[in-house]
Parts: sequence; structure tokens; C-alpha cells
Amino acid sequence: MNSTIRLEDVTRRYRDAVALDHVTLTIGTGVTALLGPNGAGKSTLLSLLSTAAAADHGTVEVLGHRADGTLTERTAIRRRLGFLPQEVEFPSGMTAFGFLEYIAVLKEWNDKATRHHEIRRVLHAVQLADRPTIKIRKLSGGQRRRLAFAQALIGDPDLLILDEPTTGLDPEQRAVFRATLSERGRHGTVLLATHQTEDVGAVCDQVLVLDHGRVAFSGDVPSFIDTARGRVWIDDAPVPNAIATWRDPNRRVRSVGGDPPPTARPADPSVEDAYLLLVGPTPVAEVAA
Amino acid sequence: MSPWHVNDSTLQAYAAQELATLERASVEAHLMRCDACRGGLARLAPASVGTVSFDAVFDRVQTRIESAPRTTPWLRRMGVTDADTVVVRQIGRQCLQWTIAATLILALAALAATLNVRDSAQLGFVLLAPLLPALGVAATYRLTPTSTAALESTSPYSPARLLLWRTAYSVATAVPASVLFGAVIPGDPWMAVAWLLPSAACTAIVLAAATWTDPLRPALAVSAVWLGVVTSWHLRDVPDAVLAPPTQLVSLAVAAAAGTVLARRLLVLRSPAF
Repeated sequence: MNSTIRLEDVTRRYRDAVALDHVTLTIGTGVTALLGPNGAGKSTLLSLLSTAAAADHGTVEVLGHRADGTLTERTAIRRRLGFLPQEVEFPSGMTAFGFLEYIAVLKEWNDKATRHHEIRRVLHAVQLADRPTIKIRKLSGGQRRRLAFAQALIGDPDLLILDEPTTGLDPEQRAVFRATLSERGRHGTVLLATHQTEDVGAVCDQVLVLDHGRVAFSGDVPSFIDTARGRVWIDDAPVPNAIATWRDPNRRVRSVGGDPPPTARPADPSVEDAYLLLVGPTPVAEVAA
Repeated sequence: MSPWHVNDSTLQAYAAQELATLERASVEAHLMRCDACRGGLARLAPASVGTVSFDAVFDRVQTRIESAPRTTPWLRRMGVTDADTVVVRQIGRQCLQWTIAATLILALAALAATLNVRDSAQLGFVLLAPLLPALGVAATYRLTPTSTAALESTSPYSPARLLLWRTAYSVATAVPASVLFGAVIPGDPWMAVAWLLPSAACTAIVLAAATWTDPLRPALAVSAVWLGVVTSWHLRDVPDAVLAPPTQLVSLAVAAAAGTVLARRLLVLRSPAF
């Protein structure tokens, strides 16, 4: 695997809180999911990789350059980077086209004709081609999220860093988004921070799980799912000491973890099961219907 | 269903958008309630009629955008590139309310001095005019949405260039108004420009400090110091002290020193803010 991202013994603190604690990892070509509970260090990791912040200790290397190096090094990364923050608050009074044009200029698309052509391309990619001159405040939440995604696609970057990109998208838009990501992952690197575990199974090749600032898992999706094999159960009632239970479409009770009675039979695990078993809550007592 | 139907030649002319307005409206009204004629139209109309390609839509949009009156044509005439014009327009869009508010406050200060509402009314102008460009720089950063600032800081666009464009915007919007209002204040005519060197000193300090930290902090610190200086003039009953050579010389020295620090910082550009 060609390594696009390499962290070596990286620590980042915010006053007394340790956001990343001696993290060492590599991420290569393809789509990698970044999972973890709130406060696990995901946003901190993304800010280091996007060159918005520097590590207190260790080495952060992105696309062959030091992310905490000189401005020349950081600029070399930024030229090949597409970044989607968790929430994009658009400047007031702008149109979709105007916003993308501003970001395109920031990304050094200085020639007007090619810049406008690129803006058309990304608007088309997120299915907003028919709305370029509409004021952003008139766009729906899903359309705004797609517009925010469009700015990350400008320049067809080698590395896409996306923080919760599918929030607010309806199922159809999510399907389009997944197709775009799969295509991008074939010739570039996508790091996708998400709480939507169904996105992981649908588009991701690798999974990276952070918990309390440390790497809890790093590997491919099948290996991640296999960590839950033999620990997910189907029965008519919740399994004692399960960490999560819910009813499946057949109205049977699916339990993750716990001590299965003889009546329970093992179920095929999912990404969500593996995630819950890795960083999930303490055992629950009742069925979450 | 209507017993009357639109003939083929009229339908063809309608599909080709060749009918006069009244005739087109008549055909449309009929088509709305006649399945047979809608079917006939579908058979006659070429496949492209009724659909518009993506490129065609965008070409039309682009033409509209490019033919729209530019708000900043004078920037082009000054040799500012098209790309930098986009940046300046964006700064102006974000800071329009600040610009209006600052100009209004300055106008009120000038008006108070002109009406001589108090003996010390002129000091209000002396206090405000030098600070506006420095506060404007801070405002251009603070009025940028946090997430947009994140996109700016992770883009390859030079942070020094962005800082200088923001400064240029602040100076260009604050200085002419201050000179204009200063000219109408009664008293020494040099008052119209006497605040320029103190203003250069305040702005240069903020810019130099902005290479280390959020520009708001040095802007507030500089404002507090300048407020102290102007208050001391008021207490010592020397309202024209800003015109005095020592004030001008000290301002020049401070501006030169801060400008030197700024230049060196821009060359190194390794600060966390950048």
C-alpha cells in the first residue's frame, strides 16, 4: 500500500487534555473511514492532516511533505488537498457560483475561463448544476452540504479529507455521494470521518478507529467486521449483558456482545456491530425498539 | 377532449418556437387539455426540443455573470488580476456592514467636532480616525465565518497576500472618509492629515502582531494605548498634540519599526497564525 499519510508518535494537547496520544499510523490510496466517539481525537487528526494545526510532538507526513513543516511544505500539501470541515458556514449574500469561485481562487485557479469550467464540473458532480446563481441562503440543508462538498472537489485533489460529509443528505443524495467517493478512491486517497457506519460498508476500503486519542483499530473493512464475528446474536429476547440490542426487520432481537443463552443463534456482524464492540457503551438492560 | 386539433404545421412551428406570442398562448392552452395534440407534438418535435443541455445552461449563466456590472472595475484598471479581484470582492462583501458602521461613527465624530458640542469634541475624531484601519484589519478576519477561515488557512493561497489585501481594503475604505471628515473640522487645516502617521503606526503594529496571533488582540491593545494617549492630551489640555512634531516623529518611528518586523515576518512565515 502506498502511504499518503504517515503519522509517527504524534501527540497533540489542548491545555491539559490530550487529544491525540502518541499516535502512529499510515493511510494509503482508497477510501478510509475514520470512526470514533465524540472527543476521540478525529477532528484534531483532521486538522493536523489538513495543515490547519501542528502537532506538539511527532511527525505528520502528508503526500510526501511535512504537514508541520515550512510554509513551502504546507503549501505543497494544500495544492493537492480537498478539505470539507464538519460544518461550513457560508459567507452571507453569496451565490453557489460565487462561493465556489472564491474557493477556486484560493486554490490558485487564476485563469478565469478554466476556473469557471472547473466550477461547472464540480457543480455537476454534486448535482447543483442548475442552481449556480441562486443565493446560498435559499438552498436546502442537503444542497448546502453538497455545495460544501463541491468546494472540496475543486482541482480533483489527490487527498480528500471529509468531516461528516453525509449529514443532512437524503438517501438518493447519499447514493450519489457514495458513487463519487468510490470513483475518487480508485485513483486518490479519501479520509472520511463519519458516524454513518452504513457509509463505511458501502464505500470504504480501510477503517481507522480512534478512541481516547489512541488508535483502537486500523485495517481493512472485512477484518474490522470479523472482530465482531461470533459476538452478535439473534433471539426472541435481549441477550444478557449485551452492549446494544434492537429489533431487526423480522421483529427478532439483535444483540451485540453479552452472554448468549442456548436459544440465541449467531448473526452475521456488520460494521456497526464491530464498532459498538470496540468502543461501545456499557451493557444495556432493555430492548431499544 | 376538444373536437378541434392543432394542425401539424402549427405544431411544428410551435415546437420550433416560431409562433407569435398570441398564437403560442392559444396553442399552449389547447395542449394543456388535449392528449391527442400533446402526442402529436411529441412525435413532431425534435428530440432536443424541450430539453436543455447542461453546457448550454451554464454558458447562459456564465454570460449573465460576466456581463453583469462589476462592482470593482477600478481594481482592474489598477492592474489587479481577475483572481485577486474575486478575493477583494469577497472581503468587501463580508465587511460591508463594518465599513458602513465605521464610516457613520467617524461622521458623527466629525459632526460633533464641527458643531463644537464640547471643547474637546475634536478629540473624538483624533481618537477614532487613526484606529479605523487597524480595527478594520481585525474586522476582516473576525467577520469571516470560522469554517471559511478554515478553508482559507488550508488553501495554497498565500496568507501574506490575504493579509495585505485585507489591509488594503481597510485602508482604502477608512482613509478617504477620514481625510474628508478631517477637512471639515474647524481649526488647523493639517488636522485632515495629521492622524495619518499615528494611523500608520497603529496599523503596522496590528499587522506585525497578526503574524503571531489573532489580529483582534493587537487591535484592541493598540486601541487601548491610543485611547490612553488621547485621554492624556485631553487632561493636559493639549487637544492639538497630534499635530505636534514629537507626535508625528514618534509615530513615524513606530510605523517604521513595526513595518520592519512585519516585512521580516512575511519573509519567514512560520508563525502558527500562518
